[in-house]
Amino acid sequence: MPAMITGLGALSPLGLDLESFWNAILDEKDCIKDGIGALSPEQWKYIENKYPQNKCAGKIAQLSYFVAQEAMQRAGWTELNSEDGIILGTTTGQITHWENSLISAFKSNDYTEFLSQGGVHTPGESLNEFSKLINFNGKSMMIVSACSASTQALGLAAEWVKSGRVKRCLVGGAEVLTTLSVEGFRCLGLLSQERARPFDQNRNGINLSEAAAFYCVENLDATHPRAVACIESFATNSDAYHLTSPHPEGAGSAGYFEDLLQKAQLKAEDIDWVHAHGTASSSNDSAEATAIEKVFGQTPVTSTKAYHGHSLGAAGALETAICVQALRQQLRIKNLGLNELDSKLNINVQKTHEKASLKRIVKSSLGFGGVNAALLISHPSVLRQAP
Amino acid sequence: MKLSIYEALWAEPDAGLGLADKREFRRATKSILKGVALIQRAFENNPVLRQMAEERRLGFIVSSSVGEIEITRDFLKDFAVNQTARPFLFQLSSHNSTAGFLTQYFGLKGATLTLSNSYQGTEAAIESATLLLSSKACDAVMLFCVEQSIEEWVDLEMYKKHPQLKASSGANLLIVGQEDLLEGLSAKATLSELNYNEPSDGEALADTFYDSNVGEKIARLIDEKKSGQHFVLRPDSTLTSFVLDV
Repeated sequence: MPAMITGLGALSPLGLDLESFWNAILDEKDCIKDGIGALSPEQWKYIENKYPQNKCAGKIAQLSYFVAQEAMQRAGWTELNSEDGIILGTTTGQITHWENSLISAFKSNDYTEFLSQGGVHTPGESLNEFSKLINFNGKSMMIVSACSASTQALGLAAEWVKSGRVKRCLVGGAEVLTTLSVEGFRCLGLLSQERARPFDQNRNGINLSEAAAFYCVENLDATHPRAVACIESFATNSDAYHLTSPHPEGAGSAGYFEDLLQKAQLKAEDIDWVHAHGTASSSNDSAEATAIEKVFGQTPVTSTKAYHGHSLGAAGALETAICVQALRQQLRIKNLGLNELDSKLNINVQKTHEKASLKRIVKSSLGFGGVNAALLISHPSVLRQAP
Repeated sequence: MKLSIYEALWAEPDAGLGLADKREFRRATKSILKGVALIQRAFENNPVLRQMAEERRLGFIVSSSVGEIEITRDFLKDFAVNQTARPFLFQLSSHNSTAGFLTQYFGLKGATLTLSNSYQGTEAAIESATLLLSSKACDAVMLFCVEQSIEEWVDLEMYKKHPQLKASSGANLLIVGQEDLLEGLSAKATLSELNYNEPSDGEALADTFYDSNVGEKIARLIDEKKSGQHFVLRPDSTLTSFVLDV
């Protein structure tokens, strides 16, 4: 049986639940201020008030708990048991704890407070804290494959439930803004001070942001009333080219697009929309567009980064929520921020919100370290029609 | 689940550090250098791996609890003390940079993941390798598990709170698949009945091994030709067990 999404939740500065996030996108709003998409202090306070006050948790665990509650509620899951699994994708995990006290220690040359807090950072701690918050003690995985992390997490979740090694999987991504990521991207010259313009001739960089999205994935027949969307195929590979730049001719991206189609036994014309990574960095957009053109020709393409920013390890999960909503409402979403298509790119960028017959959507992610991943998100009706 | 193990290697904490003098490794981290040393050995022992890597038939999984914590510390120190953010430190600070460097250096173009579980790193890597194999994403998967402590901090009080770090500046490499024979690769052992995250009473069993890297345990057992069921008590007091047939 296929791996079905039966519930999802999403959280972004655009909105703290799936409906408000989606409605903001329909209204063509963005959450970018001074080049960054940060949750406001009021939003953080709202989130913090929703998690069990007697349990100590960092920001990633808090976001994950908050949005996982929404996903589970929508799926009708009341709890997880030891036969289930959890996969979380992020880049830096809860490093904000560690880096803040470490930076203070370096500045003051006093390490007392830093050491009193444990002095060690591991992303896996976020997973442990999240697991405790939802009273889960089964098998879990933390994926930290940079900006492809939660796309890989969703793909592995689908394979995990299909393999029968777990009964159900709660899977998602979460990312918070950190000094490390903001100053790191800044020193690479990759940040834009204004709203990003994916695939635009005059694009000038990325908007970093924070977000989370979670999914309930289980083996269900496509006719089951709880089946919302299907993770029909998953592919991932490596550019083997550079630590922070994709292969300029999109060689890696084209490879995983081809693998995705081959695994699903589909052709490019079976794909109705490509939801691109589209960070609005010069190198990402040119490499990704080259690969999209090569494999998918003139299939409509959208990057939604100008709405919600680039939430790094959470990006794939957050943007998959847009794909699922698009399938539900049969609506292609506009590539916000595009004024003039880069003359060197030959792709069909979606210029308006548009009603369309959507059955299969490709979600693409490219990450530092050259790790690429893609999902094929399908409407359950596609599988109902299969022989 | 039954996996064939085509290669099983482990490295001492200082493995690969001598490579740092070479120009191509001048910016490589200690974790990366350990990876270079182990993957070079695996490629020498199994020449077919280069072709499999180029054809995207060899998956690659890096598993590390602390990742590139030393470089991250260096980046933040420069930023805090000198108000300078150095691009090459940031590029290497990501957990995924270990995989990024190694895939680039060795031309590994297949499915690539980086995992960071706190305790059951090798187990999660084997679990995800199984999924890559069952979904036909690749024919074999190379698992590289590595931990690199911040050496000057090892004796500090904080390490008592994080036992997985205390004995964790090692690395190991397993190459696994689902067939006994695979184009130039033959199984040295099979691994089955892997169970982990099981509750334990915390008492050491007869064959207990305290280490964050179960992969090293597996590699040593294969070298010693010790078939049978083995138990590993993990630093978080859970139990891992598996059956090895050498």
